Amino acid sequence: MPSNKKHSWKHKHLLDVDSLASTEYKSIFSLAEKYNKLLNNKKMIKKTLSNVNIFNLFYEPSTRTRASFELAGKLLGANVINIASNISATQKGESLINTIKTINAMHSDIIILRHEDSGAAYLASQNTDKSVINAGDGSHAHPTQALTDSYTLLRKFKSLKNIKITMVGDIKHSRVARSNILLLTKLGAKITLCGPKVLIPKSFSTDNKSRSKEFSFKNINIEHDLDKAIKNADVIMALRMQTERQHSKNIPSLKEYAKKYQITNRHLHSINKNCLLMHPGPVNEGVEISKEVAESSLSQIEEQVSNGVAVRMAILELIYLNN
Amino acid sequence: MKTLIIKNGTVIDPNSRLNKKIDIEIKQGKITNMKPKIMLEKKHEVINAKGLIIVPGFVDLHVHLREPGFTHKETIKTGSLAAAKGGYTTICAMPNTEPAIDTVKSLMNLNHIIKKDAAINVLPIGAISKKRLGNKLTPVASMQKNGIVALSDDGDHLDDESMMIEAMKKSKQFSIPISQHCEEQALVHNGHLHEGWVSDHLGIKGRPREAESNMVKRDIAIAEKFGGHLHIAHISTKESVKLVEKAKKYNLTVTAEVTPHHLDLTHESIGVSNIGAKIQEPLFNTNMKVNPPLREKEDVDACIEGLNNDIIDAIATDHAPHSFSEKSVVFEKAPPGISGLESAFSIGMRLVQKKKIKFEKLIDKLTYGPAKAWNLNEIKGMEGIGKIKIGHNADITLINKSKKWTYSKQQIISMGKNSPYIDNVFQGKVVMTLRRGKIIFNHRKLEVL
Repeated sequence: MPSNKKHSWKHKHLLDVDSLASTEYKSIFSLAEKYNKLLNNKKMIKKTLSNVNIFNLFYEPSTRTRASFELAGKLLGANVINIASNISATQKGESLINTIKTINAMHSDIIILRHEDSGAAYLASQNTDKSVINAGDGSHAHPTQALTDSYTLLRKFKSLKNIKITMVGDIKHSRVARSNILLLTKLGAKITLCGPKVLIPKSFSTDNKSRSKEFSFKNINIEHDLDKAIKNADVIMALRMQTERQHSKNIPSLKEYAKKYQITNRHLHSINKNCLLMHPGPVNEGVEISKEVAESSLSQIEEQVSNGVAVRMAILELIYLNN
Repeated sequence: MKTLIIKNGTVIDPNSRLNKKIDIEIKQGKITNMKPKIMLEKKHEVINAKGLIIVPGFVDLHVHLREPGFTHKETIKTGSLAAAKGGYTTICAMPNTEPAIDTVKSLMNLNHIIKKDAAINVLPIGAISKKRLGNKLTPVASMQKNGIVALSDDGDHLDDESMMIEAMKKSKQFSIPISQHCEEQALVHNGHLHEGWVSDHLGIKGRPREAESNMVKRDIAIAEKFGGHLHIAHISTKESVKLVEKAKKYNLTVTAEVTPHHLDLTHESIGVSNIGAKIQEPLFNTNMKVNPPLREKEDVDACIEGLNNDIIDAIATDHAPHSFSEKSVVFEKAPPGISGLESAFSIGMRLVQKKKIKFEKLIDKLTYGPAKAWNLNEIKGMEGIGKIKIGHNADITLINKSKKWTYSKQQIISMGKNSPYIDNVFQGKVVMTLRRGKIIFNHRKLEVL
């Protein structure tokens, strides 16, 4: 078994990015970089997770996160079992805890959970002695996506200190936004949140005094005017409109939203010429961004997806070898 | 029955402002004598209360006993025993049972269970509306004849303004308080904790403070116009406290209660594993989920100040037991409520130790304060509730102010172990509870000569 002494990891689970130490996310980034290179030469990848049982338990539909975890596990030699809630006993009313206990009894080593309710991964982690990785819980957190996004940016910028990142869209219902805000500000980035008022929690702004000191954000401001928000940005992150979570009164219609907040060709002329464009997917083409923009040279969307595999390989290995 | 003497203790009785070393003689369940030194005789049974404080048995205006209908959560028996352990001798049972207490028939059935199983005085509260649906009033007169002491649709807010007006007219006609759970339904729909930075952080829809204060304001306006006794259940925001203060200034019959947890915890507690520990990460503790939700520090401070200024009349637990499996789900799916009877006094002691409230004030708000708020002493047979007074029932609680103890799950008598205070160390403990002169809870074998 290869030694991972140089990498630091102390958590049993990966539930959010709030509690990650800088040594931990740096370990993920450096290990991800190693695997990113090895992905071009797959037979060189050591099967560090052979005989490890990984359960992908997905209560919400997912293409990239689920496939990415499955591939990451398999590339490292693990047995990966996929359980989708629509075809399992969870449909028959089995509770989350009971499903977790069942998986626990199947000699699982790592449980990867996607769930529609905030906090589900916490509940799971309290009811198993196995490691739980949060693959997205409600509107709360999506740590592996945030780690992927930060890694993707670090490959472009070396350091994110003072890099100006504008997030556009449905911040309120987005777990990707929450985890990204926490991690990117830890890495020193300056964040601007942009979107309709009803979709941006006021308390995320650095100016907001309602947060207690321990939790106050640095370097976040809110700008509702899209042109102003992206004018000097180094990175634009468009977020998916979470129509399945939105209260009906939030916005009049997607069309109305697109009119004001869609990133289109028109914007490409007014932004920095090296500005990167990201989207965690799945993209509602013609809502958050236009097709042309998604396919433009600025788009990092495909790179985000491929980096996601390397980052998840790193996470699986760090969690397994250190527990 | 032997004559019982409680010796060497300090008696605090908020009603008579008594606070001194005094012995108490109890015969046939009644207090028959109180003086500095009662000479012991052979026929006496004696409780040595040296170093202990003797107070009236506590009174709780807001308890969910779950029976009939939800006996997997709590029963009259277990709930009243839990209350006795917490120092209570009188508790008022909320009518959101199955069936709801909305007819004389369901009330008679409840009275029967109480007579059979209750370890302490359990006073029934009737529903304001049939099946608690908010659209048809219950038979107040006949239910009152059969013992209800208040009306409430607690758990839900009575949203319909015309219904509330009719209810307040009944309140005036029959001199019966309406205990209102103030949270406007439309604003709290699908909300699970206080709307603020923690709900933003956790990605869970919040319950805004305005949902409470809007309705407190509306209901006070109704009380002003139509009369009646409006009681604000579990007040939780600084705005609501201000509104009640104003209503009292105008001499409206408006009273209010606050729970121990709203005097101690904030929404930030939902992100902490151990109360008082440094905030580390959100933990989604479903035992912190309660309606109205845990608010902000300013609200906690306003509620404490409200108690000190007598704007808030009583501490009431809103004891809301749930089974372990019901709370072992994701935060958004968990039922709201805290099992509170056995920790209320000790949480109050925390405020005393932090010098936020005087000990005497705490005792008042647990005893005479609630009795007076609902005029319980004016009801025949209840003249002594919340008091220590010669001629009245010996409903008495003994307290050790300095005793340290751990609130462990195993020791909780209530079937509901759903408390955010599990494993907390408290200072100050109820050590004995007597109802009508009979020991119904005894923490340790007190010296009986």
